[in-house]
Amino acid sequence: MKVVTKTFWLPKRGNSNEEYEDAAWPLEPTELECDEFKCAVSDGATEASFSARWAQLLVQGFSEQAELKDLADKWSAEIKDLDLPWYAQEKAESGAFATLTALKITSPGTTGGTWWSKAIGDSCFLHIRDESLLESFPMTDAESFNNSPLLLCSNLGKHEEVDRLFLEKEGTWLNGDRFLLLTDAIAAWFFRKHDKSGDALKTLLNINDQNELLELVNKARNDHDEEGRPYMRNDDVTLVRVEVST
Amino acid sequence: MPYLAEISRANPSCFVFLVDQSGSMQDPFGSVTGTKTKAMGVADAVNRLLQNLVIKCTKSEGIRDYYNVAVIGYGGKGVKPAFGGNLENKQVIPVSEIGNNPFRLEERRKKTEDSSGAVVEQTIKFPVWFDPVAYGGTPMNAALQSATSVVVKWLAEHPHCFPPIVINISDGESTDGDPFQSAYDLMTLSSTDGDVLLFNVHISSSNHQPIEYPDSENVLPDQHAKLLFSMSSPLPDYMRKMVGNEGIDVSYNTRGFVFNADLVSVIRFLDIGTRPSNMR
Repeated sequence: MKVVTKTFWLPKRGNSNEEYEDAAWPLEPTELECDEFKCAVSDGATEASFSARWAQLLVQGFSEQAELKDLADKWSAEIKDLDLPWYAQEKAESGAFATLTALKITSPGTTGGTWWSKAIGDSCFLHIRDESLLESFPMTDAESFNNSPLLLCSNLGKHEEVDRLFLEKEGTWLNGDRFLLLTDAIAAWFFRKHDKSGDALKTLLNINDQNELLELVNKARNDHDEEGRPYMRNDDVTLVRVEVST
Repeated sequence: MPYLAEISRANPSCFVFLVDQSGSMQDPFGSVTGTKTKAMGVADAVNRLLQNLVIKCTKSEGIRDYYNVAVIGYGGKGVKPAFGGNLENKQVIPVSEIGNNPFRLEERRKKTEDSSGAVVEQTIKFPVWFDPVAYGGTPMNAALQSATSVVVKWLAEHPHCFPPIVINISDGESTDGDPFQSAYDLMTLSSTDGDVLLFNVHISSSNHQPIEYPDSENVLPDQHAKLLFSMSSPLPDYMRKMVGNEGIDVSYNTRGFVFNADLVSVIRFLDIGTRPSNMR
């Protein structure tokens, strides 16, 4: 199969690029022939520290089939080497927190193949055929989003059963299908718009560069609903677009 | 549009702590025969609130100034900024400056979990900004008026901020008159995002069990508690929901008041971005 990907991202308004705490894999544009392809997005929690590093480890670790425990140990070892003031030490001891929505696409046939996804938290993937939404996972509507999702902690001991935290889903794809991986702010915006008019999917599929994403996000952050809430919450934004063909 | 304003470095909010340092704080805390004084209870409460606020604003690169903080002491030496050391005589201070200038760092032992979940004991650094002070009268009226001056100035400079939160930590035994009107004047100041929030931490010698976020004065054990309850703001909707999620019965009259308990949960309720539901 042929896989073409492109990733777009923006930090929260008021933050620098260095303060961006989402992560995506792959981050760079990709075009390759393969039998199996893996991609992922992760959203590091604002309230924790060193979340960006945890998010990076999670998305790269998924693509490299690393064990979660090894990723957590790596995160801890990196932090341990730092000389931190009292507050940073105390905060780091709480661990870093992040979402993970990961997608594996395989190509067993000539007309298409299968996909499998696992997720914790409120980052989301969409499966699109032509310009219609076939599937969304794990989030399915705008009302499901809130500001305190269950996230994966780098102190794995804080979770009773890590494997059971992940939701999983699988399906099949056909030649020309597309997938979008989204972190929560743009995913929530998508569902709100999609429920009302249905043109939000087209808008996301037509983004071709960072400037177009910036234009969309700025408008959505500045427009407010009747209750005074912005259509898109001010947060880091990440979008990975994946096109598959046989 | 109440209590929806984003708290950020570009649009920071403000905390004012009022710390009762009067002579009555020499009395025992939590029971009439206890060994800990109310002054010790107050110092613990302020240090823990500041510690939690600093940690709340800590990111990988350091402390982000989401808040500015004033701490006003009131007692026999009058009403004045209460910080010592490098922060002495400063009125409203960015939270990063507070985090980097505790009066001292004590080493304490703490049990924690390592990455595999095993319980290990660690030495941690515990910041102390305030030691117990107990001397003279309780000019709570004057303290509330001083907080009002700070907040008025802050609101003039930050009219669209998340409303300032004032936390008064006291045994409620005001000696310069009934403080209700001064409290009311403070609570009715507002930014475009809502009214100023005045919360009270009642430190008492009573051995009555701790009470958190009551919605009626009927459950309170004495007149001092009832006074402080009456001058506490009702919780905004979103805070009330969060208190309810912690298993406390809430109603529209639930107020920012605790009796012989800490108010650190208020720091947890501050919304500065995604907070994992499994983060404590």
